[in-house]
Amino acid sequence: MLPRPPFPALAALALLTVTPQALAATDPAALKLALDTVWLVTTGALVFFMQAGFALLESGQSRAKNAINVIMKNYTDCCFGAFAFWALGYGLMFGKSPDGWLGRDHFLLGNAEQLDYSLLFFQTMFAATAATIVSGALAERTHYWAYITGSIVITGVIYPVFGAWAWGSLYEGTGWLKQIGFIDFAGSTVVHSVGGWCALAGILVVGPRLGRFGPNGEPRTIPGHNLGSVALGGFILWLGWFGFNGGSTAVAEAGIGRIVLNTHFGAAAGAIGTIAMQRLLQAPVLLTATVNGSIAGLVSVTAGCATMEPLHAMFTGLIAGMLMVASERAMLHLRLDDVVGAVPVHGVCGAWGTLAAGLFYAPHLFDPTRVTVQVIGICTAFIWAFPSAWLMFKAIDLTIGLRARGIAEQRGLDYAEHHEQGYPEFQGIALHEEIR
Amino acid sequence: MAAVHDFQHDPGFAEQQDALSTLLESLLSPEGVRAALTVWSRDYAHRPGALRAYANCLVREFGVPLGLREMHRQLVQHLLLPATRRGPVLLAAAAQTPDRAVPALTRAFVLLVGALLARCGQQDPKAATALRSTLVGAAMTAKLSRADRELLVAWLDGSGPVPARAYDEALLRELVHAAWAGLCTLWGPPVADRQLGAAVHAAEEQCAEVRRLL
Repeated sequence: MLPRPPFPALAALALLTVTPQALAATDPAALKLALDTVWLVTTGALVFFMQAGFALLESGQSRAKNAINVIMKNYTDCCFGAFAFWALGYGLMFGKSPDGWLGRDHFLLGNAEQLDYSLLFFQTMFAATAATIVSGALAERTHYWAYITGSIVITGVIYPVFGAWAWGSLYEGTGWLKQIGFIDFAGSTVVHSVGGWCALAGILVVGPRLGRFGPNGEPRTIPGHNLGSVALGGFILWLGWFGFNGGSTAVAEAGIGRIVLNTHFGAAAGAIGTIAMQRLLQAPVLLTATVNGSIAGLVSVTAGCATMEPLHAMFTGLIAGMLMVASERAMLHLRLDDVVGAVPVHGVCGAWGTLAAGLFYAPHLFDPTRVTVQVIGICTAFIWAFPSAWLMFKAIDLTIGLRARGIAEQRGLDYAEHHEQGYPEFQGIALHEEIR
Repeated sequence: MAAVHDFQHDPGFAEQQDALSTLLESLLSPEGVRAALTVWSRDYAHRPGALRAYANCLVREFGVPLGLREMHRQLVQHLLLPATRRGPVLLAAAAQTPDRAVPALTRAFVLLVGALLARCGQQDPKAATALRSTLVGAAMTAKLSRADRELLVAWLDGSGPVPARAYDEALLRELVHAAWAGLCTLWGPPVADRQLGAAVHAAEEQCAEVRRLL
């Protein structure tokens, strides 16, 4: 049997066929379309990989008895959400919208242009991100099917409606927020704040985990079971964000360099900001907070990464890291139980990032008109997403029940909802005999 | 028209009034006792499981110098437990090993909750009292015959022997869960999980049925 040629040799052979002559012979428009498609699909895949990051980050911050449930929610919300977005969300968000409010076509996209499929693929990944933000906030006490129902509504309606105002339309008409000059390049507000405000609504409806707060409101720490997984999740999200922001150009262009550099600076500065804030408050420098800080930085530069200079990206991330710590404390003070800090990271820092995109819009810094428009956009996102998500969660609570039963919290949602265990070899100290 | 039960002429009612009067005399002035008894017979005596609400009324409206939990415990002791069993809480009663004649599941329950209460008491006696009160409250609202409830409440309260009755599995599981939830409220979920795990481990050495209650 002949030995198999090594993979690098095969790759080099393939590259030899792509000569300058071969490229020149190709239609430039077709080549550009091909390159744009490759860029969009590759970055879309990177955004999809962020689901893995969220799954690891959120499950690591939950107790071992709820790890499978958290991963299941992250794994399956993008399954159900994909079809909800295809059927309804994409059309509402990007369909023809002459009045700038809602899209009216491109539902159940089919028989379309090739680029449309690439765009749908990329935007489906974005929609999944908006929905999955909620899962971590409501972890450890939310009924699986209630969460999935919520994520379908978020992906199919709540997220696309605001998206239509800020980003619509791809085909005809312009969203009303976009018309007045609202800037949110890759979705600090459209994706992250909307997800964060939905999470806040869910937290209010579902209530805190049993015993999370003492009789006088003092918060009790409930440590996550795997901090290594939290860090790995953070790294994966960081990597995926290069696709999230870089891919938002929708075309392969030279500006991508600045975008991904700003993205990286935002994340790094976010982590540093969190560490600095913890030192200032004389609190221990925690890994979980530091990872959340880098994600807060990523969220915050998402809106302005294409329109701000690296120095400002760094500053935006730094403030986001600090703001994350402060808003996490405020949440605890208000007895709001957010397991992974989704509201501070995505809601609050998304709002800050959107404001920063207006403040640091290069080269016209601190333009009051632009900043005012940004504030209008931030407030609109809250006014739309929070009440609609609250109503949705309330309706779910009244019908199928949002909160898992108390006994499910005791046994862990892995057993109660899925009849599985994450770590059967060393788990089972206080479990029912069936699953032990 | 459905017949209305004349509870005021029920011999149990007179006995309860006496017991309540004895308790209230140590806590209120004679006028206060009369008023509190009137409120009891008018608003609470005929309502099953109204002791907590009445305890709340006594603490808030009559200014009884006890906390709500302690008032409730005292009411349970005086109104629901047979006269022979009234008296100081016997902390050791909960930890005693149940007799082999006790039905298997009840035995598992007694061992598990007993271990939990004992561990809780070692850490903080006040917490153990609070946990007992939580369990008594949960048992009071359970659908049980009066005799079965009295036996269970007496044991949970620490003033009666192990109940030699076969209780419904779902009820016992609910009570174990109430104990876990009580521990969560007292010390938070990580401690509650640890305590329950340790109690299961200890109880399992004497009874194989323990995990049916989780």
